[in-house]
Amino acid sequence: MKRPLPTALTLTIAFLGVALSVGPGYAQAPEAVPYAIPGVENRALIWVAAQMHILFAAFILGAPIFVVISEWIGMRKRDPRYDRLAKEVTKVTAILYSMTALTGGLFILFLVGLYPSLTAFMVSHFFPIFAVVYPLLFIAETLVLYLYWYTWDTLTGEKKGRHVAIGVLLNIVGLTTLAVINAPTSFMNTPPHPIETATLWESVYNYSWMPLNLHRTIGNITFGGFITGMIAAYMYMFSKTPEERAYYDWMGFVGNLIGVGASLLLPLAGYILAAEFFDYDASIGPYMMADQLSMYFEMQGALVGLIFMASNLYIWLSMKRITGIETLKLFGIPSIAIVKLGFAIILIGNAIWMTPHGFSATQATATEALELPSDWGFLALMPAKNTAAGLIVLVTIINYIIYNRAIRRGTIHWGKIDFMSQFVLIFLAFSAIWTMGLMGAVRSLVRKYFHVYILFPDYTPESYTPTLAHASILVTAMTLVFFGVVSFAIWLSLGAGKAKGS
Amino acid sequence: MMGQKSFLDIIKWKLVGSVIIGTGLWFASGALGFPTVFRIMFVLYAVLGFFMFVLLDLPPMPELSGGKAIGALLVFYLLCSAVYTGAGVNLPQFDPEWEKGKIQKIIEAKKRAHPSITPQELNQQTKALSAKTDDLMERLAKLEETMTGKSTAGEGPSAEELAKKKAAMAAGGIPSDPVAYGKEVYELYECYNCHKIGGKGSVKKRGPMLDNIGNLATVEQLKKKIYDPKYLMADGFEKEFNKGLMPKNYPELISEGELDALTAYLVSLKNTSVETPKPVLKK
Ligand code: HEC
Repeated sequence: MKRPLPTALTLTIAFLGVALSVGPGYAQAPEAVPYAIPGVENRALIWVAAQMHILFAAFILGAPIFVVISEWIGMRKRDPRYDRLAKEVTKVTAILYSMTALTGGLFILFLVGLYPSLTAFMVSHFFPIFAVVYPLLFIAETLVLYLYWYTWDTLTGEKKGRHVAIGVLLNIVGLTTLAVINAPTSFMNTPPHPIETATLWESVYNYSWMPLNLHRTIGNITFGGFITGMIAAYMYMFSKTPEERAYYDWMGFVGNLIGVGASLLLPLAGYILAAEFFDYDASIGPYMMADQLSMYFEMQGALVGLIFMASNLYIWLSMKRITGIETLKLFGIPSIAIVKLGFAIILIGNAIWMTPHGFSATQATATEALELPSDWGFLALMPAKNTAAGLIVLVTIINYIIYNRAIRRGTIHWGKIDFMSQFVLIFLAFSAIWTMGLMGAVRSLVRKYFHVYILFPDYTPESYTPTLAHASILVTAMTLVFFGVVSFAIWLSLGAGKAKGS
Repeated sequence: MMGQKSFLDIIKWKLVGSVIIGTGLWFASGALGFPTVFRIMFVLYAVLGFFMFVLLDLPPMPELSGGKAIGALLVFYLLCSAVYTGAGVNLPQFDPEWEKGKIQKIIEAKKRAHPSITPQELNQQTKALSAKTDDLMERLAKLEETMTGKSTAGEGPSAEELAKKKAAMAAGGIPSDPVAYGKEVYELYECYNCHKIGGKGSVKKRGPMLDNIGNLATVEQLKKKIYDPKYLMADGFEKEFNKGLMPKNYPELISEGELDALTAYLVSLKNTSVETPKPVLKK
């Protein structure tokens, strides 16, 4: 053997050839090719399908959490308003449930048609979950939800406790479903290494799974609370009697309380999720905060600031309808003055919260002319942001304390709230949905030009980071569609339906 | 309930206050050296504050019902949509063309190296195949050694040379000047997000400035550092080093051909006027 290596080379080439022509030799069906609609980006289609699905799913998973608590409070306090709130929200949930299934189906069809190889990879990687666990949970969720709804008027009195128990079961199933579907989602962000030897459990329990579970659960409650506020606002605007008004005024107040209450925890949950991403791969940090996605976060800062401002404005308007608030003092200072000072603090907090390190959407072209002066760079760093968020949260809590003191001393006139407050409630729902759409896109985009980070490259023409303008237009459109559907569901379940019934 | 005031009464002092605060912020931030965009932003905060305090004191809004309420809702939705879309459109935008070109380059290089594979399967297949071929080559080389009783060095291309060729192929059409190509690789993999060269890049100073790295490290050391960040530490960056800031996934992203070019570029950086920290070997 004089020249052995060429033989080796031939062998290798032959081996490569065999390895590449996988499958039998007879006439082959062509490989699944991604479907393309002229003029429409596949990414935009899958984006819309996924986001719409998540909006509906978030509501049907988030609402039952406070619904069952409300029902339980109603049972304990013997206050029928809580039970009515729980029941009405569940009625809307039942209608939106079908939308969740519909958009979910659409999402899967789009995945298969537009991203066949990715879908095949994901389904086979998580086969037991997609084939067995998830369908079973979905069936269970459907059964328990309908059970919960249809036994509302039969499991009463002595049996009310059993109904609440069904509600708790509904939440257990719902949260499990959320956690299960979060597994493939978070896997795409932070797959375990090395993937070849990772067990199914390691793929499920990946770096960002728990943070995502936490973030989405809290987010869903916030979102459900603000949507409840919106339901109340609609019903308030169109209710005919003072009693109805009084009730829906109250419901709006509770909705805002749930929304704000849960959102106080959201910055922390978001921080944990982001920290976990950075820990997984530090280059995600600049991608999010300094480079391609930095202006998405600027937008998020503005949205979160406005949400807190609006929900405190709502509390303020709620206070104005309490007689006796004018004379209420806290530490010898008129409470009205404290609330106004609070707004000044919120404003300053927001200003710090919204100030970015610079106004350039990439570090590659960042110049001093667009960046904070280095002495003031701290304004853009975590300690400053945390202080700002802490201040805003503190003011919100103080406002609720003042509100509580006021209702204990004075009289609250339910149904007499400034009409503007109803627009504030709707603004809150709108902003919450918008923020969710934007940040959902961010979670997806931090995978950069991969479908599954570093593991499965995105070879489609749309693997680049979309502009904030493009994202904003899509998110606005989706928010409007969602509002349209929810408005219809509210009208159907609480408006038109009731007019016929009573 | 508050007493009714005229609209002018409500806004009068708030307007005066906001103008004073806004003007104050404009000049103070100018004196403190804030760039214009930030100064505009500060003034906008004052405007926002004005609107917020006016909203607080407005008399109750007239109640709407029926068609008027629906109309008001629609207008309100349009307004919210316009404000949010407008904000998103008007903030600085990341130009997709820039990234598209980059991603194209990365992907083209990989496609060129493996023309027969459908792009979707590329990643998994390359990994599995290269492991298999390497294994095969190794076994063949061993077989040969035992058969011929001597090393194959000098007879045809060695396994090492082949591996080099493969890496070169994987890198695609390499520009003739490795330093220029290396600069491109540096940009491609966005090292500038954490490092500064020639005053450009990471404003937040995540990682060291690399302007003088050519005088401090060898090609071999740099290669090892990029493929295994724990190999060496920039002096004075203990905290960042221990946190593992420098990404460890470059072996999966940067091909050997690209690494050759990247390090050729890095060792060419010999600007002694910039303080690049000394590398401290850790392994
Ligand atoms: C997420 C941030 C980040 C990214 C991205 C990054 N680095 Fe680093 N790099 C660091 C940090 C932090 C240090 C200092 C601590 C250390 O040595 O690990 C460092 C250190 C270095 C050093 C040693 C410098 C010295 O003076 O000893 C070199 C060389 C280097 N990086 C090259 C690169 C190259 C080339 C790339 C792109 C392929 C890159 N880095 C991408 C964060 C990063």
